[in-house]
Amino acid sequence: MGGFIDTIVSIAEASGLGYIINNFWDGGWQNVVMIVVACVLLYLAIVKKYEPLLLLPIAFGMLLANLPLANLTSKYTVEGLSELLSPESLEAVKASVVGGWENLSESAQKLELMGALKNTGWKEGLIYYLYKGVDFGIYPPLIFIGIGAMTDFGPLISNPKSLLLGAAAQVGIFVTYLGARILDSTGLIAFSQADAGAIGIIGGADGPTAIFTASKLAPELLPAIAVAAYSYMALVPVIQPPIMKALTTKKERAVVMKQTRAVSKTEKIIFPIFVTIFIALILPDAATLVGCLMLGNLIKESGVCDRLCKTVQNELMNIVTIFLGISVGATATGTTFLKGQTLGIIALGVIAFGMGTATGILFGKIMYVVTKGKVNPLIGSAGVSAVPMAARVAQKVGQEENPNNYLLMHAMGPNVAGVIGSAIAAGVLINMLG
Amino acid sequence: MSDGSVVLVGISIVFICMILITLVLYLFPLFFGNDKKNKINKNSKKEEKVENVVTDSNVTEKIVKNDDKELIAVISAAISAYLGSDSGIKFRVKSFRRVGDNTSAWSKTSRLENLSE
Repeated sequence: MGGFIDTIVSIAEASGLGYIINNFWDGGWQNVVMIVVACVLLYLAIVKKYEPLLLLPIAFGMLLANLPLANLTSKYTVEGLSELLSPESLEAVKASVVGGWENLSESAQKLELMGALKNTGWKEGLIYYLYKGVDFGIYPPLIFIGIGAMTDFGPLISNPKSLLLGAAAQVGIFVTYLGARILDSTGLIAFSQADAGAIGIIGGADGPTAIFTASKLAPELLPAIAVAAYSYMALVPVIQPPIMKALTTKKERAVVMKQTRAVSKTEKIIFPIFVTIFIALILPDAATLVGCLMLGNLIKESGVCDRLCKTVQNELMNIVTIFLGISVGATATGTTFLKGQTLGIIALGVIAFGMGTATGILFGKIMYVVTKGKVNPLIGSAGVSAVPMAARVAQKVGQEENPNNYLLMHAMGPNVAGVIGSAIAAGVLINMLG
Repeated sequence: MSDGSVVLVGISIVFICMILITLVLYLFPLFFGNDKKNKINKNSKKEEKVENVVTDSNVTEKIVKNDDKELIAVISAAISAYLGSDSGIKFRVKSFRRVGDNTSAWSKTSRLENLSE
């Protein structure tokens, strides 16, 4: 009987719940908090429908990674790996290092510990391998292929000025970069230049671009940046309208724009080829994202790859979205997420979106003056690349002023230009700060 | 690199790239707008076919009811959309008749797929 109870107790102590109880004040409380945060994000995704296609896998990945001893994290830490070894084995590993354990880099220490663990039959978990797609920058470009295949650049080609509005909205990225560096200079929250660049890209309002940039510049901030980026993208209809109304007059908002010209099929085929060659020659660091975006678009516009187009728009996007979401969410453990920097990122994320909207609108006002009232400044707010949400918001605000005003297709030009602009901005930041 | 430099260089490069692409896009209609000419040639042939079908029809529905007026409007809109609003071709639907179609669903589907390729 005593042996039976001992067995039950040892199984209980080896369980995740036992781990939390035994180590509650030594990090176990972080697991509890992160499980609650994951459940809140699941609520937002399922009930409030905040970008559920990404937020649900991210939230669930967060949940899985914070269940102790389940071996479902994206990345391992020296502390985490040390806990998996017995104290005697750990001492033996440290003693076997030539030159001293303390002199090893963190990644070398991890390799030593993982080597020792594998001798006991341990293997890395599922999400560790799924995360390699994020670590090596594979998933975001694959998603960009799908986005390109679902994008129509016709409104942009027919009204090339839209590119300037797309560029103007990316100023928000760099203003946010400055904001992060100012926070760092005050000593409140520490953000290096690379950290600030990764945070600034939230202002591009493009999930894959934000994840790609963060994985290159500031991998430890990736979970907070991903959660902030996708949450604020869902809040575009809430964040943008007050800024749009504050910066424009009734007369400006009521401007009806002329119908744009029809775009030929040849133009739609040449456009992605030209943009890829141009951007790759000028800014090679942006070639990955822009090239994949244009590949997807060319697959669609060429009309000769119907099967590929269907796959890229559906199966590829869905599979990569699931893998990306789970593995990014699983990077959000207590040690990486529950820091002052996360609060700073959440605050800066709102500033990023707001500034992107404001700079787009202000440039739209400049175009309104230069074209003598032919351009509605509201379409400038669609330069943030939250496609097609930002364009729909411009349409809605325009219709409040003039119910017969259909700005949607005019706003789609800056909207898709913003995707190109944020990819270029990402390339610039990776080049300068990487 | 100082923070100010990062911001200035970053914004400048984004704007320069986008301005250059904008300038090239303004040249696109000159070089790649030829679809229009090809379309006009094809559409004028199609228009002749449409007129032939209309004049060869045996149905002479001279009494135009209100429902038929709406149907004429829908058919005219569909042809306009196909020809393109700036093609400059003017036409008027004089008469129409439903063609008896005894083909199976399989044949219809293959016909549609061939048309859309």
